Amino acid sequence: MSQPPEPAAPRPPEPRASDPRPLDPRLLEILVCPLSKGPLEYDAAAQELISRQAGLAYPIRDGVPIMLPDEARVLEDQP
Amino acid sequence: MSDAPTPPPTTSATGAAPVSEIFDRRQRRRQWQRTARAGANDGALLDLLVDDLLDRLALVNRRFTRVLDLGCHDGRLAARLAGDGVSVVTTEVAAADAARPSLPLVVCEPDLLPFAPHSFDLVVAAGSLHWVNDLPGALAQIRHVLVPDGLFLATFPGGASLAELRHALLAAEEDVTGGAAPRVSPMVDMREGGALLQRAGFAMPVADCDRLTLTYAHPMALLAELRAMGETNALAQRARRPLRRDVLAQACALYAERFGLPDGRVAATLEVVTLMGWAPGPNQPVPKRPGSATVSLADVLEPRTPRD
Repeated sequence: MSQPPEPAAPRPPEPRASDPRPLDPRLLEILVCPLSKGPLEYDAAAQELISRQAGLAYPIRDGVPIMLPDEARVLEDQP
Repeated sequence: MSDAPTPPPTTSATGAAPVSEIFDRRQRRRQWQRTARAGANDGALLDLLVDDLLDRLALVNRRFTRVLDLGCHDGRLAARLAGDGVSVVTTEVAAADAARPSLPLVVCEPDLLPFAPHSFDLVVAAGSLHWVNDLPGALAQIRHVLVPDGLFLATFPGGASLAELRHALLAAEEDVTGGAAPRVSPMVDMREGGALLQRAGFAMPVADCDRLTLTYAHPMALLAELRAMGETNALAQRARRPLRRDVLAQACALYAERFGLPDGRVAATLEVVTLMGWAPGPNQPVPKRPGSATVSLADVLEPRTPRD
């Protein structure tokens, strides 16, 4: 693989699993629900993008939003 | 295909009605993750598609700053587009750490795009759209995420690709087992590409193809390369049993017999389809309305006062 190495940043080595990469803020501006094309709410604590219209919560894994309806969590507290 | 067993219907998380699709989305994701883990996705075939796309882009006299790379593989195309003042967002059908591009990555299906309208001024796709279940839907959604006068440019293998392999596998399986299952994906005919672009609302649509003949030392070398790219069978109606060893041997023999070259190598056709279209915008050249001409064509073709 010819990927350039990431610039060495002065941060603790061995980032733990509980310390995931953050979601790129630029993505927050352009992402919508793939089904409803409606807006998403960013739940930073749960690392989820929530589509109220579709009733789905899309997971963010290691900074990568997984915008697949069949991998999303179905919201139970729908009105 | 009509007597093939009905595939298990895919049900979405929303509880929508089950739909049967050409390609098995989950199988595609598994293939991609397997490929990426092996770190083997360095196919020369993919480079052909990427280079072809970049050649076309070089002819466009425009600077793009917000780019979407749809189906980015290991990010090789995106890396060549990114640069000073150019932000590139990449997508793939599954995330795999080994092949993760250093650019922002979104996992999504090209026919279920999760981007707001007018998010990009260029959408590129090299070697990914041939796996899309709903290509007309994907094209329409691509147009929506483009700004007015934004460009869409895609290259992918077309209908004539791997015709030899398709033929050899079908003939061999029928010879050996008396039946055959589809093992090579159907691919988009270039002639349909232009119509699809137009239907999706693109202006100045262009669809063309370039037919290349690649040569391999042995049919197995071709299969190994396809597998390394993750380009193995993901048809929803694919045979769930693996290809039998004797069928494979027979297919290789038939392949060498019918598509062998004088030097002992075998030929494989790759048809590179290029689709290109612009999101409609102001100041684009548009055809005049019929009947709106002010000069008669006859006058132009046969001037009343010829020059000499």
